[in-house]
Amino acid sequence: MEIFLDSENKMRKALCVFFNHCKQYLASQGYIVFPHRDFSFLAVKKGGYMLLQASIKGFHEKFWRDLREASARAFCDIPIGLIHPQFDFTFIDGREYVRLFLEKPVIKNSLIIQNIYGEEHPKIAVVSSKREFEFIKRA
Amino acid sequence: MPEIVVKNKSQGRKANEIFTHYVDQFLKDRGYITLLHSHGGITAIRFGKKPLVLCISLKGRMISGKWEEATKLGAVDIGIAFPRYEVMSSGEGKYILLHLDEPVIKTGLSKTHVYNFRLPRVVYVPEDFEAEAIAKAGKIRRPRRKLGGELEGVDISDWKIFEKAGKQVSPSPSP
Repeated sequence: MEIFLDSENKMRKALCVFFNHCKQYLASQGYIVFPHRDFSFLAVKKGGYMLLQASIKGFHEKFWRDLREASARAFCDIPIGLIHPQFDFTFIDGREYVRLFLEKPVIKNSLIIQNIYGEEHPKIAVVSSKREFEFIKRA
Repeated sequence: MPEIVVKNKSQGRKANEIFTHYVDQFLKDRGYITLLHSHGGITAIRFGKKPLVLCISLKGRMISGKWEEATKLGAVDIGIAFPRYEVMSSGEGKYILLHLDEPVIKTGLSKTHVYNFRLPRVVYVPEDFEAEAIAKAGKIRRPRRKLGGELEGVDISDWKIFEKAGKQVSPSPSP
């Protein structure tokens, strides 16, 4: 099922759905996950950890950029990554849209400043369950 | 000096939320960068050291096995944040007075209760509005979550609920 994310509220709800899938995905990969209220994770694995920001928009928020800069100034790079949905592109009425597969998280282990989907494409969320579709639609 | 008796879970949750705010402030004042967890806890980042992951608990213990597993991995420091407490006596007996604005942080696993959890708890908060928020919390009654899904094609209108010694048992269809 596909739903057009045409408002901030829908984007936020899609992020909630994606965040839940990320939790399950990270746990399945053997991470111990501490989910944060700002839609980020502390993912811990043997001998290491990573701070991951879950993002529908496809780039790191200012907080993470500032944190990375501050840690670099203190000569200790904090491992900051991004977790975003798998995506592809589709044309509808001659316009290019990005389709986000919310059930398929992708991890990038670096600070992402530029939009990972390229230029500002309108976004479409792809979900498999009706419940998630309704949840986003109700926004 | 507002002191509030914590009588139920809703009030406990509210008190926990207020305590989390004080722990957050406590850590920020000491130069930590903090990230609040969705399920009660704080990740405190400090440059040049492992992150400190704190379990926030009014009960004074770590709850799930997740904390134990994370400790074993050794990648982060695990700890617990609980309020400073005093054992007080009143005419009705002993109780624990928890100072929500004075967090105590201990690193390492803490699977046993820091204080006798069977004693009734009274929380101290410095602000009147916080005391009011905790007092009000118990009065909000949320509708009970419906268990299970819809029953399709089954007429349950004539089902009887049997009561046995004051305890409700599962409904069974009447013959």
